[in-house]
Amino acid sequence: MFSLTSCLYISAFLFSTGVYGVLGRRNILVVLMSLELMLNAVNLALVAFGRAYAAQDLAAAHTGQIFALMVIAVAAAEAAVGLSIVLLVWRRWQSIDVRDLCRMHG
Amino acid sequence: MPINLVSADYAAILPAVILIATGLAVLIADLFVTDDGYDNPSSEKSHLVWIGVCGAALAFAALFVPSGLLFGAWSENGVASGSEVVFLGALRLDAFGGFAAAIIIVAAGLTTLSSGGYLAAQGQNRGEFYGLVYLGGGAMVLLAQATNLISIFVAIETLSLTVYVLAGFFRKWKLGAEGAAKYFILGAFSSGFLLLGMAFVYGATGEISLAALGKSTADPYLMNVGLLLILVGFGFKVGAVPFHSWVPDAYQGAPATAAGWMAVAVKVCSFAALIRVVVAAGQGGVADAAIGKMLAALAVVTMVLGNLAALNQTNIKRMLAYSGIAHSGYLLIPVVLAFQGTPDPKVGAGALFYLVAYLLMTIGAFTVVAMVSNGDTDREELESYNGLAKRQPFVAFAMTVSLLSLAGMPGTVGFLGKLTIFKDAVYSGPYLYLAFVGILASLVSVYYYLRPIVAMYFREEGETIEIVENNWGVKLTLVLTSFGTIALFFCGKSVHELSVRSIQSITG
Repeated sequence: MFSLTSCLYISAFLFSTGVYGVLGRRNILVVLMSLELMLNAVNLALVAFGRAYAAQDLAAAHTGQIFALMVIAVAAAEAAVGLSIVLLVWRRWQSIDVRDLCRMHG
Repeated sequence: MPINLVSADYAAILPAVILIATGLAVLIADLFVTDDGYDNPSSEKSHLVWIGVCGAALAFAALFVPSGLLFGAWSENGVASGSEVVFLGALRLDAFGGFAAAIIIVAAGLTTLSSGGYLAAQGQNRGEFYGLVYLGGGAMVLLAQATNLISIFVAIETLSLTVYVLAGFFRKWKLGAEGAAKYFILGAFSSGFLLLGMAFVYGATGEISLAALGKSTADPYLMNVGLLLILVGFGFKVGAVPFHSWVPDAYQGAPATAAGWMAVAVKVCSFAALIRVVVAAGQGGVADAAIGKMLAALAVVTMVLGNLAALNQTNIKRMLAYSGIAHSGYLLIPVVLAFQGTPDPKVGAGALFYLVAYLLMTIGAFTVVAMVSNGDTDREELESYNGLAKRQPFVAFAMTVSLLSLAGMPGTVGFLGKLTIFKDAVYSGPYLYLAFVGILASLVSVYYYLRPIVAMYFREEGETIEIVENNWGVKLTLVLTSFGTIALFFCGKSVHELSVRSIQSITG
């Protein structure tokens, strides 16, 4: 069995990877994947916290699992909207490089 | 455990359900063939506008049904009646949520009214616009009532998804795609932090109700980090500096009326949820005092930088976007005071009253921008306003009223809003300096608010510009917003009383 701490370390690592991907990568599709990675890293933390509460309080444990299910549903909707925005960007700009999206500034 | 729904549960979600039903009704009505043909994006589609406005009126009326959100809030005995927990703690039926819901519903109605002619002039009048406004509006109303972390997260994500699409609604604009992409990436990025903060709060307490934020826990460090991350997430949503970089781009790329909707409604529901969070955190005493100082610093930076960045904008939408950031800064002052909870628990009322003022003046200003630009990006520059007063005296007057109100001139409701917020800060003691910074920042802001007014009244026009005119919806919107802006200056006291009673329904 994994301990709560090791799960949280993995979650923190995944979240940081996601943050790096959003801030550091140029391809919008990679940015989208990184956004999903951030949400799923939090899911891991939620489930791990829920598991840790299972020994003392079953209701608290279930809360974490249900929270994670809600996040999965939201992430799916977000991916749908995100991909259609990427499609729109490709049609208008013929590029999915975030650094090309800089007509507006100031 | 069986869930028994009682009348309070239905009364609580009635406004949101009506808004969502309106959104679906608009989408269905758009499928029918009308005199202008099937789905003609250049027609005004006034039947959709009518359905939307009627839905908004119904939702507004639903606030006042017996045991509804605002029912009894006008009564003299102080605290609004019928504040209770519904849906097992996911939502709360109280006047605070009702007050915020009222602003959101009015914003939805006014946005619908002003959009028909504008979108038709662009050849982009699709039913989805109204559908997205009302579906998002339903989520916003739910966010204003949400009292546990799951319902807050789901509501904030639902409403965000609708405004991302609205930001890119003009599909033929390169700027629309750019603004929507930036808004989406930064919005989803901030949701990640918000969610991480919520996971930490859950991990520290094992609960997801907002009351958990105030509970003593074995791990106050985890709790405070979680609270901090939640506040960062909300900072993005309300566009506080340094989390503001998406605001000007998203507003510039969005249709002008959608930008007004994004500015007002997203701010109202985000601030309502933010105030619930800080009140719950502040009452518990687990939250570190440093978080209050950080919020105060956020308010100062947002007020100062928002106003300074607006000074040299030549595009009116960008100018209004930076002005919106500055207004987020003013609105953060009552949030700071509510977190502190001193000296009296009514200080958050300033935010509610200010949001009413912000609704009227911002929708008014963006409606004029929509009329003048007529969908053409080049006409969003300040020069397009040269000599407008000669050709369209009423439009110029409405713009002047809105801008003077945004600047906080006496005679408009914007003055009363700023006065309420700054007065609360002065009496708060330790946060006196917020009032000073706010007053100095609003003095600076007068410069850029006066620039379009000078252009409209004292400059000669370069070329004749056609504007969306003779459209009943646009004119009615301008009449309502200018009248409201001036009238509320004279009878703002009753609205302020109501906002005080509303805030008492959450601070006790």
